[in-house]
Amino acid sequence: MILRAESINTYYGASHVLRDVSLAVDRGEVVCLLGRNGVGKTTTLRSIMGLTPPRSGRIFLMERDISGLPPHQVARSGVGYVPDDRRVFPDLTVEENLELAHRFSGRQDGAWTLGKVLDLLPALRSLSPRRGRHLSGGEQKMLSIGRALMTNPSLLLLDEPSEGLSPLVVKGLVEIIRTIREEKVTILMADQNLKFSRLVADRAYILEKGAVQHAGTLDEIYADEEIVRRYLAI
Amino acid sequence: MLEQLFYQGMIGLSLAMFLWLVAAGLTLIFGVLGVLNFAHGSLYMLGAYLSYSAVRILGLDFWVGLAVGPLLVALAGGLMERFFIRRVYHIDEAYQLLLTFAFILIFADLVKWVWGPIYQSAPVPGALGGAIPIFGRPFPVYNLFVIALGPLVGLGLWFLLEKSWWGRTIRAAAADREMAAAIGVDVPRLFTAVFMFGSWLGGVGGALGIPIRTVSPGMAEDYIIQAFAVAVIGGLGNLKGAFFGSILIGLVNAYGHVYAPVFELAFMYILMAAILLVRPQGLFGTS
Repeated sequence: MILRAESINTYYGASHVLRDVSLAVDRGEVVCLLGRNGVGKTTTLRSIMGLTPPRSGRIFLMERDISGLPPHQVARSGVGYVPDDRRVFPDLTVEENLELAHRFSGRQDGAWTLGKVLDLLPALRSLSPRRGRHLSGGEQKMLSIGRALMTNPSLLLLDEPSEGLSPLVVKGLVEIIRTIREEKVTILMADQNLKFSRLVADRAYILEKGAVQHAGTLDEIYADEEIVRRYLAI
Repeated sequence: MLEQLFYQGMIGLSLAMFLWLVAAGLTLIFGVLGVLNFAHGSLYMLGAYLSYSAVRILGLDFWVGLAVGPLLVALAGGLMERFFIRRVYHIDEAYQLLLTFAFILIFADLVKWVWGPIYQSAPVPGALGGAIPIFGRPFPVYNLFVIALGPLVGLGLWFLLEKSWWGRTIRAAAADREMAAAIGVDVPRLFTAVFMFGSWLGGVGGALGIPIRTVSPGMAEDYIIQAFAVAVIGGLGNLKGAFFGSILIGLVNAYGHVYAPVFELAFMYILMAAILLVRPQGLFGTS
């Protein structure tokens, strides 16, 4: 078990966003959080990262309690984070964005190096001297993924990876996620796109109103019309 | 006539460089932490008093005073950030204003209590004493030294922010502190360090001034107002703007002093108001 969340409750001010969310991810798995907009997928990832710490409940990373740790310590413990809105450092070049993550992770002896990340995301290679703010949306997404990999994470949190990308780029993304998985990085992602999720993930948790409503394999969920209609159809 | 114009310009430039050192720290702290530190002028004053004490009371060499005073100011800034300012980052700016304004009052009373209300000064260090003729009039060597030092500090700052990894980390955290934390940057510690560095710059400005400017409890207010005028003219949070804004204010003050002494103080505000009307984001700011 690489990640275990035990009934976490997270609030934004007075509003109760996550209600007793529990989930577990095994080493080497790709697990997806499914559900419509605003059901708590992003908040779940942010809670794990320590960006919006849960008010109650516990989070374990490789059996170590990381609940309450500040985000930089969660990152250094081996969690990489790719936010849904990309958020590359606008003032830094592509290469600086990647190098900076490598420097601060404290995990420089891992498998991911600048060369390896650029092999995985070749589009970034020619953009290397360009500043983050001058990249297209798709390029920023790739950089955001590369930046998280540069911290040599054991667990990668991917928020809405397929959102806003063209079908062709999504195809490439499927390959990228599969390659990352082959490198023994466990992935917990959030996505609304069931077809895309089915191509990369093994299991899923379905969220609605901030609570886990259903857990199962992607194939099982895909085949269950009732669940798809109730929780996923738009 | 022309000689006087140039000579006065040189005076203005040396005034500008003190202002630049103060405005640089203020700008850096605002640009990175998003906090407008109204007490920044007080840190400048503290730098002056501490270096003055090192030289005049402890009898240390001027250069030792210049090294020690600003370091102590950085320490004071670090404590201020760690225990007070850090608590108001995420709440309304009005609270930042109130808190930093409280520090102005605290520092002012502290200085009066320790050093008394009278004006102080220290001698010019031997190597930089005397004057050399410029445009037919003797110009103090020390002022020339200050004029040369200002751009060097600017260059050093540029290099630090653009070319060093510390600078890149600062720029990353300034743009997005959450994502900086998410790649492993200890943002609170980085912010304390930046606040200390900005305080140190203000302290250096104060310490450099002790041989040619008076050291008095009122200097904090004088300087913070001018430094804010500089920041507004150059564009808030913009270091290049702070540099050229300082030069503009320094020159306006120096010429105003000679050619229209009655309006000397008014010129700065007129300039500031005019720039705000034409370019509200400041000369180098982006809207």
